[in-house]
Amino acid sequence: MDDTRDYGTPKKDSATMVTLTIDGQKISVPQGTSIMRAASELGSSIPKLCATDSLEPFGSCRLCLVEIEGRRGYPASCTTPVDEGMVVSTQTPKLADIRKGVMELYISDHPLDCLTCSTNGDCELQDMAGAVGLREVRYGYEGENHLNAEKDESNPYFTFDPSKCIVCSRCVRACEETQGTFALTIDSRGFESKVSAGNKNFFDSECVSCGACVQACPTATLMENSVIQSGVPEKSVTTTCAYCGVGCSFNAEMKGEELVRMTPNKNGGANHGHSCVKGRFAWGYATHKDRITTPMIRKSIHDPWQEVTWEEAINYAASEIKRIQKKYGTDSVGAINSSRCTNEETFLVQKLVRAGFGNNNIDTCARVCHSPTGYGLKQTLGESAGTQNFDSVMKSDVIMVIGANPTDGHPVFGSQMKRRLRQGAKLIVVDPREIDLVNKSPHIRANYHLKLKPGTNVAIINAIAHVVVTENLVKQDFVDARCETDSFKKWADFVSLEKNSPEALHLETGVPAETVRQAARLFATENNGSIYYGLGVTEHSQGSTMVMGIANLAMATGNIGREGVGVNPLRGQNNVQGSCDMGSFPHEFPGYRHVSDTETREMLEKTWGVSLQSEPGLRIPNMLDSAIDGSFKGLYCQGEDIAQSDPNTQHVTHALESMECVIVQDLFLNETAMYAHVFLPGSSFLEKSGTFTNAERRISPVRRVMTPKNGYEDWEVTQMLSNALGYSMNYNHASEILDEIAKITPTFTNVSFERLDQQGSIQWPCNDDHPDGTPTMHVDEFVRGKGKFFITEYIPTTEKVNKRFPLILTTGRILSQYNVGAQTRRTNNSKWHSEDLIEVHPHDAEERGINEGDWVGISSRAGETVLRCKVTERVQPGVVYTTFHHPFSGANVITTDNSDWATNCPEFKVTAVQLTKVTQLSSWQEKYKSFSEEQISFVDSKKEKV
Amino acid sequence: MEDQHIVNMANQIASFFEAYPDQTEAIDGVSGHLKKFWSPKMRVKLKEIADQGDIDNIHHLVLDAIKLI
Repeated sequence: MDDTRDYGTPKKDSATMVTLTIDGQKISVPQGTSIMRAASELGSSIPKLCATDSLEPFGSCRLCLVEIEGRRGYPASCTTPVDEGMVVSTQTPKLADIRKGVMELYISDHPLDCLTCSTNGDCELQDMAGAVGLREVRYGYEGENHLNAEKDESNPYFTFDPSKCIVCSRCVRACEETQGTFALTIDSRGFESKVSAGNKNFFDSECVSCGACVQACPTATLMENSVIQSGVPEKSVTTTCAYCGVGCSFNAEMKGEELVRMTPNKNGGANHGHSCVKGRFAWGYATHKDRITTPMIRKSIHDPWQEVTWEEAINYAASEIKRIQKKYGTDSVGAINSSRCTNEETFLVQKLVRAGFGNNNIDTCARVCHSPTGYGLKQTLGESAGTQNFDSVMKSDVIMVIGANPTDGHPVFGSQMKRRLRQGAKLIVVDPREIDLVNKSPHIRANYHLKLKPGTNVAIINAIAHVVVTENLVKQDFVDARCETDSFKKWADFVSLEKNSPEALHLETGVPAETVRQAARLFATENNGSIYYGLGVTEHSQGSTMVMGIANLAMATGNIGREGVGVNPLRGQNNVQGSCDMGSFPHEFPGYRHVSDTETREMLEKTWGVSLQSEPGLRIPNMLDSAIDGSFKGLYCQGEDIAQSDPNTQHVTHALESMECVIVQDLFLNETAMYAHVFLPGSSFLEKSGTFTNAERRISPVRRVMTPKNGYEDWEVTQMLSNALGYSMNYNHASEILDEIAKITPTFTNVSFERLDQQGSIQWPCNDDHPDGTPTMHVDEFVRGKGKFFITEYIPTTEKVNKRFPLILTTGRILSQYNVGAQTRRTNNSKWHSEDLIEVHPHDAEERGINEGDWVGISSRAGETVLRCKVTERVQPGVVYTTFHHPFSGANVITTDNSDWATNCPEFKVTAVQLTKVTQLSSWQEKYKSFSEEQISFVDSKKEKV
Repeated sequence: MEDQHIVNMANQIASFFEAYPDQTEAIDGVSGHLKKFWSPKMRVKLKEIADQGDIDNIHHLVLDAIKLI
């Protein structure tokens, strides 16, 4: 799997094979393959500079010339496709002479500072000079040249040094083809040609810092600042990014225990060598000074922390859990694990709760993001997971994006989707806000933007379904063969009702009926229709209903079970899918088997040597409510920050204050840790072994590249706590935990560290029925047998606008920051987004006398906060929007505890608010400021003593 | 957990199943959901609220479903 060769041009897929002879050797390759690639597959390297196999050939450097029998001249091997019977010579005296001449010209305008150059030893220009045997440059440096061109050091992560540029256009093409941003261009002509970020510096340009240009650059022109500072890495270890649900594979390039850079792995199944600003560059948090590496305890949250040994901390935590359970009962404690942790860690925390605590009070942060996905897809299709791999989008003819913002939230997949859209796939966007895909991405324009009012998703999906059914656009043969007849009929009758027509729902959704009709027709009539959705679907009081509505639509239009189609939840965090797979919900064991399932429970009781509860435990909101009513007293919270991420912050903090022992395991003193009594230092993704499972069910390895700064991998800490509680765990390595997961979980049967080492990554199910994993699910039949349609009645949210709260607030995230910001705020990414802003439509701003940059008070039924204003037409009148990356913003102070009917996933996306121009912070912000300063001082004073 | 909060959550579940033309299926849907996803303590609490007789705010499907859990 670790084929790191650069074949020069991309692989071509063709059923027709072409046979040719290169340097006396015969080879057969797919039609359309370049001579350069064919030669490379034979093992010979044709010199090249402007070609690389992640980009379409360009033919500008004139170094890869070859001779072809019967043809005149010296064609470029990168742009010349193979032909049947072709006879090619790649090395002749004439070619050597031409190549040497070309290289001589390049080097005549290039600094001769190889020994002190940051890319010395890792430079394609240097390699090519050696390959062509260049020994002298006859032209001298007296003439006009670019050697004194000024560096652009505006980007915090990389430097652009035009003096080293050979104008090969690889960076420009990478920005276009790989990333799809088109921020770079070649300005001027001839000798004046230069790479330009639109006549701006890189930081101020359209550049999104994905690193594709840096990756593509064959010289030191675009170079990571970390390499400039530390030198070329000495070794590379393949691991998986710890940010979003795309789960990009990266090479952690090291010097000893120092991480020098992260480069995207070209063999990565999810990212194919691409990256975004977070995974590529924003890893500095792992060694940030804010990290706490020594365990701490305290009796009260108003006391300073006391640093203790691991043994003392673990024993204290265990004794508190025991004391609480003895006093208040077995069910008075629970745990929350995190999608930022590995499968092995989340598995172990749920095992600790079920086997060690003796209850099912385990929940995970998926509760507040994709729990409706788990519920809705299980009900309709039979499995709580997306149906496709990411590559599937390249075969979509029409793509529907609902409540997701892939270019910001899932940027690497967003780039792949944009590539398909530039190839001509149609696009329907269903979103209250004008995301970049609508009309701000170069060469892409949504065919339809259903700019609905927040909270009316189900109305829209019903209206689309109404058109599909009443205009006879159902793929009846698929439905007849694959789905339940009875449930389909009930659903079809329901959506056909006049109340579900686009005309009847127009006033509710705000979307013109004819636009809905046209979008529905487009989706239903194209060959391959795929649906991609995000938290704009799930984080509603009808989140689960909407997920079922999406599955209904996909089934009715026959868009399940092959490439190019499917229901695709874009998971927020890196291991949302995995943490759910691992049994992190209070009603399910690993593998989504209900706790009442006697056969599974007995198998686990036998394996784990304890008896297990057969009733569901408490969900996060249930835990918090129970804490306030006095029946829930102790919480173990690993890698999760509910005080910032969960709705109605004041309710959450009240609940935390009501508990007698809160144990937080994290890298930093996060918002929840400020309410904790035990702090157990966490380890970063660079310091542990394990696996993450991304949005396409891809299990990828996380490999330890440095010693944990806290001394232990996170699973070891859970194990210590379990042992101190009296439930014995004796794993020696994370691989042993994965072995246990495979043993007890039918969809993971053939998964192991060894298998991942061989294969790189595996999409579950991976078992004897699917030995190599499952890129596409539900191919011949649904996991549940027949697909089941559900009636999806639109029930408006109870969170309604009125005179007091006339606007709807909806929330989202931005490219440079990630979730609660604990990681990205501790990197240079904050240079792009140093604070959360409230986006307001010009009409609403004018009505309230609010101008760009003003401080605005935002009040809701739950609370009040203050943010600075951004006036923009991205939001529609009556709707305001903000992000939640900074704790001081208090975005969740204003969100309410309304939640999804099936899963209690919070309704983050709909909060009725009012805006007023203000000059001071909210009372919550004032209180938060003094509280957090005090809490930080409790840690800092401890550090000073040390 | 506040009584009204418990009732609201149960009513939300009932609202989803209310659309089903077959009332038996709707009642089974509500009771099945409560059994599958609610902790025993929450179910007991819901029953206690209903038993106290203050049922005006409780959806009729919830009242029927309670008998099955």
